[in-house]
Amino acid sequence: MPIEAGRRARALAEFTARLRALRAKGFSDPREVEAFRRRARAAKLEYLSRPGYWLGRLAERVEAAGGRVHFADDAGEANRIVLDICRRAGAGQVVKGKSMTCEEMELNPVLEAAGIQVSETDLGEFIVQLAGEPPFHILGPAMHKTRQEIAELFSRHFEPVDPEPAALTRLARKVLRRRFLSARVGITGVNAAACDTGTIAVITNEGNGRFCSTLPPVHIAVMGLEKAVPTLSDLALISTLLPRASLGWPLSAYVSWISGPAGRSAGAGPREFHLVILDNGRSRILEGPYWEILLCLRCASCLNHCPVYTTCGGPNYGWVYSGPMGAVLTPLLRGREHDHLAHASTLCGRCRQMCPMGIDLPGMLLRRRQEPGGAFKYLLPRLGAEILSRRGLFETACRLARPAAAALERLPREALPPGPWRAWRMGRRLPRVPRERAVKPEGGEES
Amino acid sequence: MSHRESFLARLPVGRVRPPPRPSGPALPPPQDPAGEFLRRLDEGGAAVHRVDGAEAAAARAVEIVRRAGAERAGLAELGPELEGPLRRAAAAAGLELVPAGDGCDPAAVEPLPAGITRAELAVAQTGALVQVARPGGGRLLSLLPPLHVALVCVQDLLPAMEDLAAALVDRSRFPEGPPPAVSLIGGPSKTGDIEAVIVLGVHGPGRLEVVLWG
Repeated sequence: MPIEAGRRARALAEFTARLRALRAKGFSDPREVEAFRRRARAAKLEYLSRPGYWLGRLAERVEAAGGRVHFADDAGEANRIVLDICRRAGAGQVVKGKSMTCEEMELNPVLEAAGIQVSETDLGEFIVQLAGEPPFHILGPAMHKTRQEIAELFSRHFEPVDPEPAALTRLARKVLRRRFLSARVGITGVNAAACDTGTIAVITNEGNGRFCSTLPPVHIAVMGLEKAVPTLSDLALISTLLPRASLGWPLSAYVSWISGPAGRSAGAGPREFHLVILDNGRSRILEGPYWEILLCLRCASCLNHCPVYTTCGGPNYGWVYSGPMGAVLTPLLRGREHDHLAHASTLCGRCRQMCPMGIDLPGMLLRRRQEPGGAFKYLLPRLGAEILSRRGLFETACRLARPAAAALERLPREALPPGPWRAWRMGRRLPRVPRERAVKPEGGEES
Repeated sequence: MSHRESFLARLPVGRVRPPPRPSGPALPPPQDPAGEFLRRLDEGGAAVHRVDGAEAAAARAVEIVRRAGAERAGLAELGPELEGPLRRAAAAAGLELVPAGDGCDPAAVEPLPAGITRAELAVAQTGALVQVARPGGGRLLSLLPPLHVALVCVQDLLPAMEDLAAALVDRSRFPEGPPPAVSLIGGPSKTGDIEAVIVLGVHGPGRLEVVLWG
């Protein structure tokens, strides 16, 4: 996994250090953390012991309040459901809150292919969407971009603007305000859902989640099935635990608890409310040895405290989910070709220590490394260990390596056939194998 | 079997064993709820005021809007004890009050320079204003104008989040069950998305002023 260098590396280090400091300031008393963790785990485990029963109740309650509930087996089905609702609403444009589940589904390209303009409304997501890049960090999608780069991007798309965060934010507000007022459909993710009352929580600091779920006449909320908890009291707990874990704050600026469309008794709000509940491999995860990852709240604590994440950044994990949480989740949702992510960890254990749900992330990564099928990855280290532990073998290897390395180093790199070997060679020099021994054997003679 | 039934039936039962629920809340209830409420909101970036009585609360709200240089403010339905004093204070200060409670066209609320609302409930421990969706409520006024003045009566202050959850399912308060939308507000709209510099007012109000009376 490449290490970030230069300005991006500094920005990543500073950003994650700031989040760690906020967390340390506001939510670090171990007794307090443990008290929240025990309650949140108990709530989530009660749900996961009977998810079919609880989701059935969730759907019943939402429908009794006038909402519609859609169950989707996989991303393709969820995308078709969302597209269908947008088409029926006559939406030429939708406004969207930040949702990792929608990114997992790759919803935006599906809507865009159908001629629907999708506006990301979280400021960071708005910036990376304009730039055509993936989000860099789940809490700071555009943290790798400078104010100058953003000003240049905004000037190209909208109007000339000073490279100042306040001026850039004002311009984004103006552009997005028009879209909030005109969009026919708002799409958000779901941070947690209470089954006994049929209530979802949408949490943001910018207020974009509240805009998306209030102004457009149709609101679609998309949730992975693991986001549910049994009761409204549990939802209240998660609504305060999530910002505590992310930022050390007891509450985000805006938390919306939504139980259905506005109806006659509400005055303002959408006329239609749709809840899309996505499986996409989650029920399979619950049956296997990695089920504990379904407790994840996506607070980003494990990212911010991970020595690998803080030097490599999000995009190097290759998919939507990053950090220790992503290293466990991606192979489960996307397939075994992502198993190598289990090695993107020093197993230092900080992620488990900081996780508000107490998920044993290092334990799961270690388990993944030890699985059969992973064994061939240890072939080279094992061979190395064999050679290093036998003196005769080691000396023979050195004798062979000396001319071989020198010959390879003389070979022009471009002459190598394309492929991983060439890519590996382009950035590296082979070490010179010294003639003399590093350690002289006791009482021995040099040969 | 319908698609929904097969979806739900596929989910395993008893795959995990839940531990007994720990008793009591995660945090002890605050000793001084009003003080805790204002301290938390202040930390969240709001300006806070504590006054005696509805009359003083109305006067303070009008003063805040006038000091911000606004000549008009949108008004949600606040109840008779606040509306009378507010109209008198506004007339004296030359502030035009525009009825703009929920049910109005959002396009008419959007250009207003300020909104005055009343939080139906509030939570001390997390510093949360709680707005319950209702006709004439402040769902739009707390979102669209750049300045939001929220009035909170100390009697509506609940100690902690679990008390709010209990209040919302209390049929004597909400006979039809939890309202379709409940908004918790913990401070002005904020972002740190550009070089981690905190900027207020990215989508919602950049200024939140909270007046606690009672």
